[in-house]
Amino acid sequence: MSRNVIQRLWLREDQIFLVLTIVIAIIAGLSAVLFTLAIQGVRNALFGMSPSTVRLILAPALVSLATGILLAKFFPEARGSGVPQTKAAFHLDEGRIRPIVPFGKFLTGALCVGSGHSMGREGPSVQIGAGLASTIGQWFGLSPQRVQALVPVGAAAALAAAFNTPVAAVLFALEEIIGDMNASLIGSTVVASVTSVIVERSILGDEVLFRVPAYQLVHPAELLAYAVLGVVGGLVSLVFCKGLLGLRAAFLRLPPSTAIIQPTLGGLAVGVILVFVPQVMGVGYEYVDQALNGGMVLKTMLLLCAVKLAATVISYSSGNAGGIFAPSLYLGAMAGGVVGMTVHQFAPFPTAGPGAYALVGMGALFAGIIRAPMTSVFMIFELTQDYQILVPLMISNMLSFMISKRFQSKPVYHALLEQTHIYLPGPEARVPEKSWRARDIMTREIQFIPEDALVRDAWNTIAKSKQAVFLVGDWGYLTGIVTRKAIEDAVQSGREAVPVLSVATQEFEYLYPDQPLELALERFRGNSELLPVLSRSGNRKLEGIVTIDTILNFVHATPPVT
Amino acid sequence: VQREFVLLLLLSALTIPFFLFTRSMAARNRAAGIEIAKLWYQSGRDLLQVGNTEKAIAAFRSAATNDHDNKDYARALANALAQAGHTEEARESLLRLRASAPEDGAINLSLARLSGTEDADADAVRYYHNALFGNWPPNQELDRRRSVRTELVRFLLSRGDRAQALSELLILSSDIPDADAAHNEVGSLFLESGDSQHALEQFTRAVKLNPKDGGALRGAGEAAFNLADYAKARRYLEGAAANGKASDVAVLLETTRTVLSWDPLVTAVDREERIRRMVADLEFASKALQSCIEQKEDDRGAMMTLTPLSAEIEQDRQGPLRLSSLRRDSEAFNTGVNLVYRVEVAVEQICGGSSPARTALLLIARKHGAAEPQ
Repeated sequence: MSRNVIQRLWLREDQIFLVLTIVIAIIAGLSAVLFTLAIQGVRNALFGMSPSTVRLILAPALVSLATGILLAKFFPEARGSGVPQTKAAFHLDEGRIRPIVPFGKFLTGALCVGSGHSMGREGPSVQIGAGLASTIGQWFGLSPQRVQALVPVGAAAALAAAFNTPVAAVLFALEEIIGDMNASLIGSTVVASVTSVIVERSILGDEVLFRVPAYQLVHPAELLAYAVLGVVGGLVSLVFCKGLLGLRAAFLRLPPSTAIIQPTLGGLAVGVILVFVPQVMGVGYEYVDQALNGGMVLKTMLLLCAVKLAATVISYSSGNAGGIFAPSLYLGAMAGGVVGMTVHQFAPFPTAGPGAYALVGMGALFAGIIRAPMTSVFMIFELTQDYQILVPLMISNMLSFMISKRFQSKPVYHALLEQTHIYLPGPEARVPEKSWRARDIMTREIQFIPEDALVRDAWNTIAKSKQAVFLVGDWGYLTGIVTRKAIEDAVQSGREAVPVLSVATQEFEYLYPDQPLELALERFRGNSELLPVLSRSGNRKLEGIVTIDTILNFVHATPPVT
Repeated sequence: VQREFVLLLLLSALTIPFFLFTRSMAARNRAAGIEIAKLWYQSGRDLLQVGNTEKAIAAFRSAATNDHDNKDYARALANALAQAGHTEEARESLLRLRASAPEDGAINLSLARLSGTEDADADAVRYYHNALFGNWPPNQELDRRRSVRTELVRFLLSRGDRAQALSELLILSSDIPDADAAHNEVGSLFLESGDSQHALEQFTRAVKLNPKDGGALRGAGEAAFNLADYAKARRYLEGAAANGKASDVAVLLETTRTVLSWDPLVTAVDREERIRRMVADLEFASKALQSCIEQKEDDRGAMMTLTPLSAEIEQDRQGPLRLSSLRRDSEAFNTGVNLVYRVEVAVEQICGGSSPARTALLLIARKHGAAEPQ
């Protein structure tokens, strides 16, 4: 009988996954709550009620000195938001995240945001939740697909608890982490999000992040004003993204040995800003609340929009741990409030108060910066629970999204990853699981010409080969591609002593391992004879090559699908 | 046993202490937030008292942020916002508070005050009534309702709605504790709303409870004065003067005394005294008229009014207001009082200026039913 009981308790993997989803959601939700409490605790401990000027300047700098060491030595993945890292883990590492990452993120994130850096807590919460989910999945010895599937589960659960919007959390996981609104993981993310919100509310109650005003579309012509808000939102998003990426690139160009003190420099700059404009400290939802509820004058909102933008760019670019989710909402509320007040004063038709515009502005900036338009619409809709807001919200968000996309082609999270040579798959990699991909058809039998070789050496190397194209470099870094004809021409023209690199091309077409056979064939149309397959997580790191021959060999070797 | 099943049980078991730990941290954080909020609230109140409204708003905001559940903080913030002119945010805050507690007396009262400052009188009255019938802390219920109704009466009086103010006052008067301060306050409101009879009742009761209450004595004196009961008015006003209100009642007392000593129609004095008063009143009016004529001799319009009156005085002095006529004919006094009244009104209108004596003469005439001049 006991054997029967045990057999009945014997769980299949999908059952384990379902229960695990719930347990992980609880843990991720609790972590997000604890993370929020930790930020508040750090902030209270460092600043108290009325911090002195010295404290305002030194607290972020000194804390960043400590976190700078931690981030450089122990948790390099914990820098910044955490959302790009989570996406990279999901897409490139089969959802594997080092177990130490969530703990490192918790520690450095709480210290950075709590010490006054102008950053958000949602991004770090996402990484903490996803990291815990991945760690638990690995601990359970689940299949790589299951571990990967747990990443958005943890992310959605943590975001739901951190931002208190379960539907938006699900959409964020699908739209931003997975990058596919039709993903089969929708069920588990919904379960996780709901479970997490229940946990969060059972601890914190119905506490709101900010009070949302009742929304009203006073006059149909107001839709024009919301279009203007969309344009303004797009432009502010653009300035933010360009500024963030530009300054981050500048910091990355500094010698690697300075990586430890870069956050301190950011901390010092932010500290000085805090002396003059303390309203940009930390997450800043209390000021979002004021903007939403008509508690700010035009000049203040304009000032806060500009200073928050600068402070966030500095905090993030200098390599501190914290997100841009909350800052984008903050900027949106201020920009929206400014537009709302201007419209309210000058429009020849009756308009809603500036609070309504601040609310829509939050969505517009989120759409422009984060580039998750569905999430942005549903997030604000979920906050207001008012159907009336949908049309203005869609107009503003879409315009902001389009302007931002037109002038900044890569979404900011992708661009940040690419600055560290991590390339996320785009929609072209989204093909049915059974499709043939570059990694299936490539070969690793490659003849390299060393990067420092002369044309003469290269000629000797390729003499016995029948190939028409050769790779210059090595597995770690592919410098370029050179054709047999280019080498022959160089030899015939007496340039045997020049470096082979001078006759090679360094701009070439390539594939990523997850890209489909169809894309390879498409690229061969452009007269390519060889396509290098580069790793998504490395700077020109080679995984293999695809040629017409490798394709034919693969086709011949693969049994037909019945 | 399946490894995953055991791990799952273990993990589930671990979530319980994790949950309890997080909850205890949240509770600690909440307790700390409540303490911080108290400090901010107190700081806000102090700042408000010294008139630093903007900093008080920031302090109340911090209090409300640190302790979301305390409606007093949110209401203090809303009130401070309203005080500083940030009416939109104040209204939003209060309406949100009201949505969660529609019958909260304090919130409705704040909304009433805010509506009042925005000249939304109908809304203000509606919120005052909501506050009146709303929920208050059980031990303060009666006091708070009384103070709300008192505030409502003041609001209505400030808007000139005396009729509604009076109806609220009548309810209030039946609801107040039998204490001199309460009667005093209600008496003042009756006085302000023009109901001197009820005002006198309230002040009389207050004086009975505290005969040395200068304020009540003054109020009673004023009410009696308005009711033309000058003897009673003098008694109360003299009492007020003797109880620290001398400067407040000086003019009124002088006027009252003048009325009492100059009234020629009073029955308590003999005919000779009445004649003396009549002659003196006429003389006072005549002098005032002559003085005014001298001032306005170039003003033809004024002279067209003043000259006939001067002629009438001279004519009546030879006729009905001769001493012999006055001794013989009681009706002549009425003629005299009427003439004095018309002269004083004309002089006041054309040459301006006021004095207790003129006021007294006008009051005497009005008391005895003098007709308004054509």
